[in-house]
Amino acid sequence: MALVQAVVNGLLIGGIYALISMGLTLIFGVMEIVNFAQGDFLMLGMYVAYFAFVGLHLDPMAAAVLGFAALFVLGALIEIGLVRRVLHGPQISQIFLTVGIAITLQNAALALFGADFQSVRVPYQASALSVGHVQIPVPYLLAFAWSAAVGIALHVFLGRTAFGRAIRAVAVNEAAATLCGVNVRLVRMVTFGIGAGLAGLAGAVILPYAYVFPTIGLQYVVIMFTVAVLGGLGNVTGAMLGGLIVGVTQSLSTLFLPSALENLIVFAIFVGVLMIRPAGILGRANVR
Amino acid sequence: MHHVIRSIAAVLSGVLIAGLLPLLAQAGPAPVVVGVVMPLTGNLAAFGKTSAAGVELAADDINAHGGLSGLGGAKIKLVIRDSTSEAAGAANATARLIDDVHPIAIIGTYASFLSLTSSSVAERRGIPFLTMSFTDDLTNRGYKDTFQVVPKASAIGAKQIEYVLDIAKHAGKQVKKIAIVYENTAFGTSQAAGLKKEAERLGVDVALYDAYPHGLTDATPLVQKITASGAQVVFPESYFTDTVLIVRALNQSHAKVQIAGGAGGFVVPAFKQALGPLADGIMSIDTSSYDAYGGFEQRYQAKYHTFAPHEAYENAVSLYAIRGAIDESRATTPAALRDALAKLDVKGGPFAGLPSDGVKFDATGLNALAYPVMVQWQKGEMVTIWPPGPGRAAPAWVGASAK
Repeated sequence: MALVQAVVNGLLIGGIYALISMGLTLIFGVMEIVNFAQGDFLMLGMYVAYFAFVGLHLDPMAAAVLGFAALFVLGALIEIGLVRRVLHGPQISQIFLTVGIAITLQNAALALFGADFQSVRVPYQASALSVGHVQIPVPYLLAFAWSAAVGIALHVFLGRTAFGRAIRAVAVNEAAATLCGVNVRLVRMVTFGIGAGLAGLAGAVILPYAYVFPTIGLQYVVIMFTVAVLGGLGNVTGAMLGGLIVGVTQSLSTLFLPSALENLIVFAIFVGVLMIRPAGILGRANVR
Repeated sequence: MHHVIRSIAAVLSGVLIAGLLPLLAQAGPAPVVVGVVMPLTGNLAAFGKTSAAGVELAADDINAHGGLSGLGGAKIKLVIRDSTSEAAGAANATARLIDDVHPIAIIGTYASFLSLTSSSVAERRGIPFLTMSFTDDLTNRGYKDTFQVVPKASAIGAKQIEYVLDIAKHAGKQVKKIAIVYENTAFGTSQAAGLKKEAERLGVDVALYDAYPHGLTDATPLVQKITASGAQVVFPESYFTDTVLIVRALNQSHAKVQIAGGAGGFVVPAFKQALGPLADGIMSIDTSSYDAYGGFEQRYQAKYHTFAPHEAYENAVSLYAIRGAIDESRATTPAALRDALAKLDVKGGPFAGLPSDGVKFDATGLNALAYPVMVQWQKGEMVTIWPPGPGRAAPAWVGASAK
């Protein structure tokens, strides 16, 4: 029974980890930029949901749409104003830029919103559905549902729409995409916007069981990178797979290991996978 | 002719000096600089800010009531620095503060793991360091300059189980099985160790003793372990962030377990704001009785519109202890203040919020009088419930009976 419960918990949190990591992997896949500010986009999404709750009495599950929209706009502006300038520069400048954005956002949040821990109170916060002897916590279930919906939507968008194909074209070969008439600059701007927006959405949907303060992003950024790299950095389906693997592994390993070692097996698997498949489970083997 | 000019000059300068004297007197004795190092950024920023706010309130109070009487009414001047939420940052900030302003003493650094590095720097430079951090290591390293105004973590942990057993007995229950979960920081580990040792001495079965990394992103696996252990009481030794995740996940699991937290995140205003009705019935050990803070509580309420958390009050206590020592000894140097603190014995007044009602440091620098109390959230208010006494609320037991 404990095993079933642990698997259920692991799948739920794994789905959420997948949602958190999708934006990071999308941005890398298309622009080959490792965005260290992704955790702070998540933090801003949490604040959007928090203020929507306080000001508009909007449930965070609904405010997720606002979180996406707000961070999409911010992401697009950051792309136009900053990221674009270092895109073809040395990798070190890209790292400095995104880390700089991260630090700026953390301290701007500290100045604007204060250091206090903020969270929301919603009716389903402490409730769980009982299926047999297994408890399914409602806030996690709702966040998981959002993750599944976003995963499917992103899959359809990238696979079936013209703009989605343009994004993938840029990801595969920028020059060829340009020659085929794809507006590469627009694609990059929209991609960075979607990537940031996904983090904003994820931040909103986890708020009912979590809390927000200016440096909360740091707590999630390690998970984001583990999940994205394990699945294959740049591969959205890989992020979903990576999320589920990390979630279930964490949950199962705490059954027989001290909680302090919850990431021991995760990282053992992580190292093992990268030894066999250096680009991640679903990553392209020949990264340029 | 010359002597006429000279006498005119003498008279004029005499007048000038006489005119300046009152001005000099108005400037008064030089202010006494006290350093405050707290985590104002990073994940402990919320606690650092309330800590600094508490010291500021105490300084305003002392300055508004005639300053330091032992030094002719000298005012206290606080210099507040950010330790960040990293151990190395705390050491750097402390060293720079000492070099920049040469404080007579330092108050810091809220979290045990930060205070450990700050106090090492202060010890090397011979500056008295006053703290309300809990870990035993602060005062068991043989330092001469570290003063801990609150009980140490192992003693807090021991009282945590002792009080809970007493409260259960009072409610007609017997506690046989408990779970201890703690964050793997200086605060969590030392408090949990004291709790476990005492539980074993008292013959209680510790069904789960589990450390977790501070800054959880998900508490469900931990909570699954707690419910699987069959414990009647769970003792989480955690700061605020993990506390919230654990309490929410415990409620989702429908576990009927009494929560008895280890201060940290359980006794702050944000706890009620985050958990609302879920807070009711939750107990926590605490190092001061907030319902006995008196004037300090009122001034804090008026200025910040929330109740004064224990770290605000206890850091204020550190400043009042410094005042007490200076007034006794007229100390103007860190070394003299250190000796005065070692001899300090004060009671009542601003110290009434401490369960011990006073401060008296032993040879290790620990406040030998200090002992903790048990508080409980009842109808959205935090009240002191144990040990029982006048003005204290009746405890309410919400845990299950022994199976």
